Amino acid sequence: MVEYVIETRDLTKKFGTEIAVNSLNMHVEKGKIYGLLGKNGAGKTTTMCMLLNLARPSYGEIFIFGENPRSNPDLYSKIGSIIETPGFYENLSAFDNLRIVSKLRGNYNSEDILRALEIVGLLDSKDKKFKNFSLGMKQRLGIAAAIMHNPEILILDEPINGLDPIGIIEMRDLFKKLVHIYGTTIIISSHILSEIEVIADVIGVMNKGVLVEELSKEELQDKMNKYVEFEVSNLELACNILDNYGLKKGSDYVISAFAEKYDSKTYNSLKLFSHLDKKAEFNRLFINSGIDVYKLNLTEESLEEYFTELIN
Amino acid sequence: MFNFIQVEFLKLKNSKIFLLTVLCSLFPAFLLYLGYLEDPTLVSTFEEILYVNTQYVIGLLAVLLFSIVVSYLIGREYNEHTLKLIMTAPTSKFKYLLGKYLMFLIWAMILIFVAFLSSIAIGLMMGVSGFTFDIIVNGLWDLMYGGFLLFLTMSPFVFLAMIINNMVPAMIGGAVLVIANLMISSSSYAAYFPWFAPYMIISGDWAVITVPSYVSYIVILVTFIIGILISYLYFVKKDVSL
Repeated sequence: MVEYVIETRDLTKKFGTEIAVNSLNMHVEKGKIYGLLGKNGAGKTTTMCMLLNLARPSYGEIFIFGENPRSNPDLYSKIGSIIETPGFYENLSAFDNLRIVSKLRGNYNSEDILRALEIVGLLDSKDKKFKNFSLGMKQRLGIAAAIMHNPEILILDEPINGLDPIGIIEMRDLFKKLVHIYGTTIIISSHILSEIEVIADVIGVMNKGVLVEELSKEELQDKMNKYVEFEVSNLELACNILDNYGLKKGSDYVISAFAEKYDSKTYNSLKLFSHLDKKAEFNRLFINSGIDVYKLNLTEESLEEYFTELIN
Repeated sequence: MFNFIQVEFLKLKNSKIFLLTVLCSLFPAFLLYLGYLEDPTLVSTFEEILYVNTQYVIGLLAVLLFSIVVSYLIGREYNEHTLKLIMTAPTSKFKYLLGKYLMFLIWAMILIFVAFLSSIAIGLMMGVSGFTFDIIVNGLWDLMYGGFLLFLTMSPFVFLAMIINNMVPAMIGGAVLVIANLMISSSSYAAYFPWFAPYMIISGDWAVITVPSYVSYIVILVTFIIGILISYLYFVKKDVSL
């Protein structure tokens, strides 16, 4: 049986009459990276705030390790988090800010602080005041505070905001390492699709407060459309060949919208969505019928295209 | 709770506000000294110095200073977006508010104590008579007790700091209360005004205006309870500001 570290049932948040999160049923498996994807204002941060007890749900339930955290608030100590931009005390150094966090957690250990600073690459800046930090450094400090106590769950809201490309790769590797070595479960939100695609094991897509899709990376691969694109000299004849083969126009293959509307000689491509394994055979049939094939391309729909299609 | 208070002090590291409030608490003694330079017969005993100092501190300065302190303690967590850091540590909302009240009390008592010490130092500089153990202890008790009672009346400012996160409204509010204290000090309503009632109690002036001292106590207690209740209910019901 799958063990869910975090589960929500009909989780709803209303601000006045506006529904920010609507009946969210989320399932986060242990030791996985759950990518929460959505446009700005989709409800990702509000969902995370409810998971962290920063916002009160209007309706619904949250279970952390199978327990309701309202009856066992100690569960929150197993979570590390970043929500939006990290907030720290401007007048204090990176070390002192982490000291505050660890003192509040009741597990102050200077070694842990130094180790966390080293992991995020801020050891050399440990005595620098927070007000003098760049946005990327602030984000790194937020990550250090989140991982310092070796939490079992990490809830990270847009953690790569402000990081440089090297920083993004470093943090991505760190998150993967935490999952693979320590079995940490991570919920990570982003509106940067490529980031979620690279890092997440499970993807939840939110739109207008609704979780419209929750699927594993494998399921996503299956769902994303693959097609073979042919660019030919005679589109009409190529369509006839496919029709005679038993393929249906519109479902098994489509021709370029421009070809239909304007000129099939200039716009001469067709997309084949089924019988992809027969692409070589179709190519042979086209050539034997005197059709020149200029291009034969196996294309896979990107997450971006899938996401756009889903939320529209 | 010890950790929470320790953290509150750590937050003041490199911060100028603590030093600034301490310097402000020296002001009544400084005013006394200026008055003495103008008129050396103004005060002639330690008892008089402590009486005038208490009037300046509890009746006027502490009202303004306390409103600034409480506004800083509460408001900075909103301004610097650190409330979410504390809450996700995790810290319960009850513990957070209790910790803030305790830190406010400690800070307030430090300021009162500094004001007391400065008045003693000024008295010694002026060379006035009557420096006895009883007078010093009684003077300290009056000032600390008055400071504590005044602290109780500041709970509505906790609520105010939660709604309006910057210090300006608290400073204006504190200044308005100081002016109100000045205006009301000689009227028969002085004992009913929460922010002047502490001074009425410790100075014994309630007897002069023939209002029983328990009336002032009730006014202070009711103000405290109202402030505590509205700040707690508001904080518990409201989502944590990001």
